[in-house]
Amino acid sequence: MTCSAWTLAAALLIIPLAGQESQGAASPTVSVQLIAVRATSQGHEKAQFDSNIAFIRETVEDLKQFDDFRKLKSVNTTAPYGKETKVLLDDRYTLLIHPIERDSLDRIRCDVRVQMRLPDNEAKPSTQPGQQAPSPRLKEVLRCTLLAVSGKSFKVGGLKLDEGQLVLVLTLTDERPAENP
Amino acid sequence: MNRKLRTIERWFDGATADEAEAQTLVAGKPEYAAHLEALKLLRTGARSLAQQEVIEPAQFPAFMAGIRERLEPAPRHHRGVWALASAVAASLIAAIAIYMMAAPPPENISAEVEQVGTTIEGAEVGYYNTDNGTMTVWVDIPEGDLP
Repeated sequence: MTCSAWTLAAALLIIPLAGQESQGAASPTVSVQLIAVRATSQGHEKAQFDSNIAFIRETVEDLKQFDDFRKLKSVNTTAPYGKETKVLLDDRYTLLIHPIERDSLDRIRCDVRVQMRLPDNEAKPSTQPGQQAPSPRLKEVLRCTLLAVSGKSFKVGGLKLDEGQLVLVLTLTDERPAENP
Repeated sequence: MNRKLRTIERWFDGATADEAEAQTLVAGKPEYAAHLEALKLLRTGARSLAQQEVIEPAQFPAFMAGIRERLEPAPRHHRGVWALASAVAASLIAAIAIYMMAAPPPENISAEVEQVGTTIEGAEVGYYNTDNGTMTVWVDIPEGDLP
C-alpha cells in the first residue's frame, strides 16, 4: 500500500467522524420537564397536591383561586433548538415547544404554544383503506415567547378543562456549559 | 374773566400797580384764590427744575456705576447652574437607559416574557412574576367561551 493510499483511507475514516461531531454540535437540545396539572377549587383549608407533585407547591402558591392540584401528565423530554416538539397533554390540548436560541445571558429563548383540538361537528367522511385520516381542526389558544432561565420553572395556565383549569409547570434546561459565568 | 386773571398774574409777577385789585379779586372769589395757588405751585416746580445737581468728585464712581448698570445687561448668574443641571439630568437618563438595556435580569426571575397572544375571542393573556420569581403566563377566558 502506497503512502497516498494510506492518506486516502485515513481521510475516508476521519471525514464521517468529523461530520458526526459537527452535526452533534450544530443541533443542541433543551431538556424539558413538564408537569401538567388540573387545578380546582374544592374548599380545602390548605392546598392539596398529588404526592408526586408536591414539589410544585412554591411554583403555584400564588394561584389562590385553587386549592386542589392533581397531576394530569408528567413528561421529561428533549427539544432541539430550531425545531418544534409536540407534547400531547390530553385529548383536547397539545403543547408545542420551540427552543429558538440561547441568548447572550445563557437564557433560552423559546416559543411555547398550546393548541386545542376543536370538536368535529360534521359527520366524519369514511376513510378509504390506505388513505390518511383527515387532520383534526386545531386552534392556537395560547402562544408566548419567553426567555427562560435554564433550570428554573415557569408556568403557563388558565385554559379550561372539563373540571378546573390547566396549569403547565415547565422547566427548560440547556445542559451546555454557561458561556457567561 | 381773562382780564382779571391776568391782573392776578401780573401782580404775582411783581406789578405793584395791580396789587389792590388783585388782592380784592383773590379775597372775593375762591377760583381766583385757586389760580393764585396754582401760580405759586408752578413757580416752585420751575425753580426746582432750574436747580442744577452738582456731582462731587467723591460721588462720581457711584454715579458712573449707576450709568453702567443701566447700560449693560445684568449678568446671568444662574446660566451655569441650569446648564449643569441639564447635563446631569441627561447623563442620568442615559445611564438608566443603558442599565435597563445591558443589566442582567434579577437573579430570582425564572423567565422574561417577550410576547403573548391567543386566538380565543374575548380572552386576554397576561403575565407576571410571583414573589418567588416564578414567571406566570395566564390566559383569562370569559365564561363559556370554549366549546
